[in-house]
Amino acid sequence: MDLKKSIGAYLFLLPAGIVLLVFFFIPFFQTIYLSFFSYSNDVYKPEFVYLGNYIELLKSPLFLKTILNTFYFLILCVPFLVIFPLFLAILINQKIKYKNIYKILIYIPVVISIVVVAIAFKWLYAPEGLLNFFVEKLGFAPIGWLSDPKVAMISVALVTIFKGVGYYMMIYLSALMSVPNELYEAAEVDGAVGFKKHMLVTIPHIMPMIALVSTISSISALKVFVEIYVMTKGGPLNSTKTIVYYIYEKAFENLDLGIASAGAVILLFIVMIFSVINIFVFEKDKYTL
Amino acid sequence: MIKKIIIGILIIFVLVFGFISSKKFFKQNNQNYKITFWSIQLKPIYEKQLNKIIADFEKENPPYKITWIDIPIQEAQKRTLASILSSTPPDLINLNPDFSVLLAQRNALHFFNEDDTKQYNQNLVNKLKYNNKIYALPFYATSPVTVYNKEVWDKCLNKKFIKSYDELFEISPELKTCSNIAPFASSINENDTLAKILNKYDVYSFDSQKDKEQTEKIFSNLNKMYKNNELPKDILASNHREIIEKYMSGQTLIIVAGSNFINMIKQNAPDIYNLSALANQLTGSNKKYDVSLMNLIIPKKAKHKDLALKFALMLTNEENQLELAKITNVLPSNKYALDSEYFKNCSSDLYEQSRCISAKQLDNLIEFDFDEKNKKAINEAINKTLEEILLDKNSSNFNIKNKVETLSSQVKNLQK
Amino acid sequence: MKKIKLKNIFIHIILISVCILSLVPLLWLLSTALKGRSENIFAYPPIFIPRDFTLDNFKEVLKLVPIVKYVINSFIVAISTVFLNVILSALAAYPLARMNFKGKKIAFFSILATIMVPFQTIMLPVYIITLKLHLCDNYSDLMGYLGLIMPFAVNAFGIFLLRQAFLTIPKEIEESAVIDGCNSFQIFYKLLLPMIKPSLALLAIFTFIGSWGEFLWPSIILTNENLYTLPVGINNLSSAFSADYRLVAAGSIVSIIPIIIFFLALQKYFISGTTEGAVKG
Repeated sequence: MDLKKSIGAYLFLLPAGIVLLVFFFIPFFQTIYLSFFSYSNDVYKPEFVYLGNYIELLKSPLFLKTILNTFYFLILCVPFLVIFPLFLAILINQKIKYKNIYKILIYIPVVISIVVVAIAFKWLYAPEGLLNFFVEKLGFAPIGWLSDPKVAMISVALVTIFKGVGYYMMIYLSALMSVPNELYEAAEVDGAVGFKKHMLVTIPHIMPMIALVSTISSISALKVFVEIYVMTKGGPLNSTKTIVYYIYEKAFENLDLGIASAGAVILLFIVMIFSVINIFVFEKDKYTL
Repeated sequence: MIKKIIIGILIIFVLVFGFISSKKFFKQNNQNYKITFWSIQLKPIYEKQLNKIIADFEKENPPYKITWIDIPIQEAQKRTLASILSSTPPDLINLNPDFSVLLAQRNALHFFNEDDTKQYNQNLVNKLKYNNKIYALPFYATSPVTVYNKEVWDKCLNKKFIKSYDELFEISPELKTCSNIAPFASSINENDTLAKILNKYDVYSFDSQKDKEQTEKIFSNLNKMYKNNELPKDILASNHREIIEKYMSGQTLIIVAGSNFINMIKQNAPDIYNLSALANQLTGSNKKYDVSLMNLIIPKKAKHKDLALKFALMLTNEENQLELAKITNVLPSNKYALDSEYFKNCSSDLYEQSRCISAKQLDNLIEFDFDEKNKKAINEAINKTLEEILLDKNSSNFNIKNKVETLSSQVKNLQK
Repeated sequence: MKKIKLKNIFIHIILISVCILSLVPLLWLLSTALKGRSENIFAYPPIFIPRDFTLDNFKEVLKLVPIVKYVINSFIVAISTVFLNVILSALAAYPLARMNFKGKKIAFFSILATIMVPFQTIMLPVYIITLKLHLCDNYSDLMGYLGLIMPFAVNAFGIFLLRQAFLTIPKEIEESAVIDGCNSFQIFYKLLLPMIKPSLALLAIFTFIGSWGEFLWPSIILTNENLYTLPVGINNLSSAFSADYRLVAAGSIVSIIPIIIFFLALQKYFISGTTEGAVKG
């Protein structure tokens, strides 16, 4: 690892580094700075409160609840978003007709604005909506999709899954294209067919992409906001209030900028730990960092 | 390799130098004579008229120029906050009172004199005070009216339409049984909708036994409706637009909505519109009405406060306010405009009717409110309490009493 | 032979059902946009096929807002954002995947950290910095466009995606190039970059869609209507006082079309550009 080689690497990183420095790191350090102040009396003369905002947050049962809610949301959607799009991608990558049409149609939800998706889902979830129509046909009591605190988070997670499947499927598809055909041929010679063939060849080969999807979908689940904003506004009874929604409310509804900044710092901390674990699990042996 | 390093450093230099010196290259023209006005989604309908007002103002006040920016309603608060924190806020901003009062509480706003507000309806100005100081000028108002499905109503009940929430609680079961549609919908979990209903029963705090009992009564009536599906189950997650959408889809029979939305019903659900009729806003025991406001604020750090005020007064003078009302069907805040015959003579058309009904309601407004300080937090506490009651599968009267007791102590803390 | 056919039918059934689910919101949008004046667009249960079919709503949208101007603005912003993202991400991803250097782990996780913080939480400081850099349309149109582009000129997701794409390429390929005497830039540019074309195309599409649909940032930073991007522009179809949902729906449909075109244009890179050739050679 000589210096000359390192400098080469830094040069490659430099342009992206500058942009990230200006539009992410500096603002983020300012956020850290703000998190030690209270804005509750005067926005122009914030008061230095040491770790007061952090203490207030960590003592607040509501904030702790939003952390649990956020992880619940993650568990609801991430496993599905890692596995199902891979399954679809493998199907589309077969030698079948109309590949491109499928690809575009499954990708459509990604390009449609969340506001429109929310309107459609609110119909499905309405007390006398389509979903409850089927539920009642099957002989069950109607479900309060968005009004029952036990169910609401699942309903929101379904929206995220709906918007995410096409996105992650495209990532897998681009990776599947790089699997050399020779590998499949070799596996077939060894007698592997169908499902087994994919377990032996496809999955190991695109492991870096599975790691990516797993990490990215976890990160986006931990910072979920828009779906909550358009579907439930954190209700009923705070059952869908996530960390970012809480921060958002503090900053833009209540003007508690200090608390909101402290929340953002805590969020980064949580997501960082989670991602480090995620990446090390995937890359501990095969890929050096 | 060395060549590349040099090139890299050069590029950084150019970038940094470019950023620093860009000030000189791209100097804003006439910065000192520029007054900035931000409004909330007045386009497209009010665009032509506002441009005319701006032209008139610029003619009267050379060399000043007005830059008008129309901001999407969803992002208005964010953008305002961002600009307030930067060193160059706009001079005049159109904003809702809830957020304006927060800014006033945090010392970010310029306060107005009594003299500045002579041309406005004083009932409206009174709603824009913090610690007895006027933090905003009223821009326009809506005093919602009751919209109901007359066809279903006549078929089921065959009597005169109701006036109050008490009557609503009474007829609701019958209407539900007959029509099999949830009779009433309201965005009770949104902002101050519920607080305003309490105000109609003279509840402005939860100190006295009387206040608490009154609150319990209202909550238990709403609870009964919710449990019997007389309120749609998803109203807890609905805002006022979604309530109107519910009405347009025929899934509810009675709503309370701003008169400007009557046209929306006409445009989007013509069949429902043809079956509809209007009535006064539902009232409580004090028979008074509520009003929603949009206001104009001047940030403390604004550069041209005097001219911003001048423009605001021009924007809300009699002539311009009447014009605004004619185009959008909202109510003017200008008292002379409100006195116009336009608000007294209305045809039987629903759109016109709503105008006369809501203008008349302004004479009889609820005067008090829960505290202006921590208003948002108080509303939230009230909303959460009702939400808990509605979602509790077996909320008895005893439960409700306890919850109101808890609410009382929460609000007492916030009102301190 | 028969077995394969049966299998394919199964695949088609699964894919078709997923497609139908995916299309529900779009169909609603389309049917709303095509409904005439006399129809209740909130009718319940929903009616998908317009009874009073009309294209008037589209004409009305074109009349009400200068949609061509918005489309051009959105294109300028989206294409520049895509261009910068692809270049900057590829440059940054290469050493993270293929080189050993001091501080590699720190660099990687610092970059990753930038997608861990939601934009809303740092938006206020970003706004203030952007104004301080004069990247705002107060100064000139060019600065206005830059203000829309620069905060999104590189995204850690792109760096991460391309890094993982580089990782899927076997090490041997690169080693042979080193033996041939290529320096690291040549390896990057001539050898590895063509091999991850599908991922580059993917990043281009994702960035394009993200930039095309961005609503929050332009509506915070823009002050000049001439620079409005499509989502902010068509928002003017409804006002604070009222809204005709048919027009809003027609506007949304219009704004989706360019994305589909962009997608189709990059389609071919998903088919070619695999590593097959390189492995054989």
